[in-house]
Amino acid sequence: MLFNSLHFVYFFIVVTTLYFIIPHKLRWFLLLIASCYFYMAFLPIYILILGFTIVIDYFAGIYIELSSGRKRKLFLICSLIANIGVLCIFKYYNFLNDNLSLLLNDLGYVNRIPNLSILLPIGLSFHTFQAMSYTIEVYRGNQKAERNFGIYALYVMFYPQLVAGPIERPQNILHQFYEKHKFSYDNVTNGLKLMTWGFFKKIVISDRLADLVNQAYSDPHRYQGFPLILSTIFFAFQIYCDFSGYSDIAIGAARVMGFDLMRNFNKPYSAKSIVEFWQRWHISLSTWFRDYLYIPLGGSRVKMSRRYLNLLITFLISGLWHGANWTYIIWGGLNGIYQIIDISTKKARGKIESIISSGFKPAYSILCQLVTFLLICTTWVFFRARSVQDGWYIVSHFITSVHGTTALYLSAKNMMDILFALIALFILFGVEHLQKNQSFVDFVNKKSPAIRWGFYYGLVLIIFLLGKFEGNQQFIYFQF
Amino acid sequence: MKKFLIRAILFCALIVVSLIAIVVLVSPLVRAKNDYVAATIDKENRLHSLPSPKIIFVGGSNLAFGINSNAISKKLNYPVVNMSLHGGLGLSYMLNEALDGVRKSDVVLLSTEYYLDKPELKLLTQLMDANPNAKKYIKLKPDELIPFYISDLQRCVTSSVKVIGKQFSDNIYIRNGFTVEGDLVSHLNKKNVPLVSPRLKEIDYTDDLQLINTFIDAVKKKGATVYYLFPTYQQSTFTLNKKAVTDFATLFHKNLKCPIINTPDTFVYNDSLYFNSEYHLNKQGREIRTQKLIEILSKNILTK
Repeated sequence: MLFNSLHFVYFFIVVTTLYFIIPHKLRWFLLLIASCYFYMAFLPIYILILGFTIVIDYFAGIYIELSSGRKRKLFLICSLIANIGVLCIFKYYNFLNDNLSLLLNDLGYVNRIPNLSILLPIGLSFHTFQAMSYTIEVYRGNQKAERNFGIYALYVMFYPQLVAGPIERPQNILHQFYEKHKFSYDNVTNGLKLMTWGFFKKIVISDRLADLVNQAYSDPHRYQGFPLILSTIFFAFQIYCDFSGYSDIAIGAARVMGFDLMRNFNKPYSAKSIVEFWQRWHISLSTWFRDYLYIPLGGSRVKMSRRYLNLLITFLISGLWHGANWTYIIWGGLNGIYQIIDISTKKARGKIESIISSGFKPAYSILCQLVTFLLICTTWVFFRARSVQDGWYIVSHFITSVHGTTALYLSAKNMMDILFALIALFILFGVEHLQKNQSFVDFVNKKSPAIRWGFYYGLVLIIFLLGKFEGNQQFIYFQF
Repeated sequence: MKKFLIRAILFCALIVVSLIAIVVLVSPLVRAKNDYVAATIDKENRLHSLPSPKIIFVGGSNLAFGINSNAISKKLNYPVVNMSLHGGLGLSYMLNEALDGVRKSDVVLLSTEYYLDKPELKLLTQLMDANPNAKKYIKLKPDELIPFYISDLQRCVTSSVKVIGKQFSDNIYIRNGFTVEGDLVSHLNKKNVPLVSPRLKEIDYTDDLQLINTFIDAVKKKGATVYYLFPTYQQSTFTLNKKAVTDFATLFHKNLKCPIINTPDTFVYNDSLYFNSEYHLNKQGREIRTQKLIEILSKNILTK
């Protein structure tokens, strides 16, 4: 079920109303049934895969807690193999097999292993990672194994964050399923405010930019120069609004019922360096990789060269997490390399900053933001491109003749989309700028009632007047 | 909870009232009386007033831009009405509208584009605004109703952005850009717009074929005949999408309940003969295609 569908509006109203009507002891059951329904609205059969990993991890958690020494480790490894195994079969099998075929072809052999004709279950990487964080935390002794099977299943399946995160840790969310959440005016209204903000990002900005991006990226060889630059910048905004919009709706929907999910984005395009960008972008995944991969590899408490290698490995795996395609691996690799350059030039940049007189510091700060944004845009090319060849074509044709294709890209039909998207982006970044270090909800709540209500009213009107409601606009991160 | 419910209801009511007010107040100011889609009024009038037997062209913009109905009429000695306008109005609308005016002995020439797809709601709202009679030819599914009303609301906004419209529109899309027969001629003396070949999307044509076959049955029931024509297509786009077009042709040959009187390459011409889309012929292209069409029609079906 898509958040930006009428189906979800009905679902949300019914589930939330029932949640507050029924007794506390039945609420987890309601949420579990609702989450199953939410997931099965995509493709019912894939709930079996989810069920398989839930059963394995539930028992693994208990056995890890009850055993000691090597046995304890063995149960953890079993759980990890089950989760990564599911990922490998459904997400990476065909990719690995295709690459094996290419390799064998080069060596003069024929690969006779057939590909699997299966669809990737929605949100597989998200709930698999959430499930793995549970068994790892139980193994580390940071979380008690959950004895109630239903509550554990709900931890993996909680519908707001089931298909695209935030990827929660058991310490943050599991105990909340036991807490009694009374109807709270503040929670409900704050949740709805965040959801509205998320819908604004998704329906008005992301979906409006999607057509413009698709036009260039579905057949990039038709274009050169300016349209490729413009569509890449549009994609940077599209993916931000799509994914952070999803996160806002998810966090808001949970907040309405009294649950607190972790913040997933913190104004990433205001980052002044690549390292800072990754502290602000998809925070739940970045911290997952930090805690469960980067630090176990040695993190930053090792020699510099080893630290760089750890970073590169983490980002390459992060790329692969996103999708079984070389484009994602290149995307991860580029981000890893940028991080290494960022860390290795930190001292030099610090010196430059200290030399600059205070009057020029704001300009220097803007320059850093701009450079970071442009570097991130170059990585987005490979994230969005359908193939490495397309990605390379786009990057290598950024600065070429613009005659002809610019006029085609900036057609009258596109101009209206561009105009509306620019108005909405202006509102988005205006609000983000004024927010400073506060969350969106805190920022809005501190305004006077007249300004607040005016803002809500304007925001909802803009969603209806400038939003894109035609077509079935999926969230980009659902495919992961 | 009471406080929340009262505020929520009041807020929703305020939003609904505001949206209705926008439609009621803005809509008359931006009525699409001289828009491209308003040409349907003139086309429908002609369709219902012409004596039978007559030739009725039905399809998308490949026919609107690319035939000279007057020349066809003179050569074949049949009155002609060209009902075609825009593929985005959807097959269902095109066929329902034409069927209403089909009489005994009429000849319907159907030529759709290759991108038979869902109708564009924005276009339908424009159409209904300009031509209220069009409502009877449009059947929306229940899940399309809310997006439709939102599209109508957004039409008021987009139509209000006159400055942008004026600056970037080449203003050929106007009601009085058509001849009495229903051919668009406002583009004939304009310079070609640079074009790049688009790739055809993969589309499941099952529902479309069913719609066309139902239409064919209904036309036959009225004592008239239908012939199908593959559209005109820019050479480079045809080459790029050759497989998809061949698959389309095979599917139509296999399933269509009416004769197909040309092949997909019949009206494929050099890129220089196209105005602003791979389907839109310019003045020279239009004349070449018309001559070819007259040749096909007089050889195969129409000689009075």
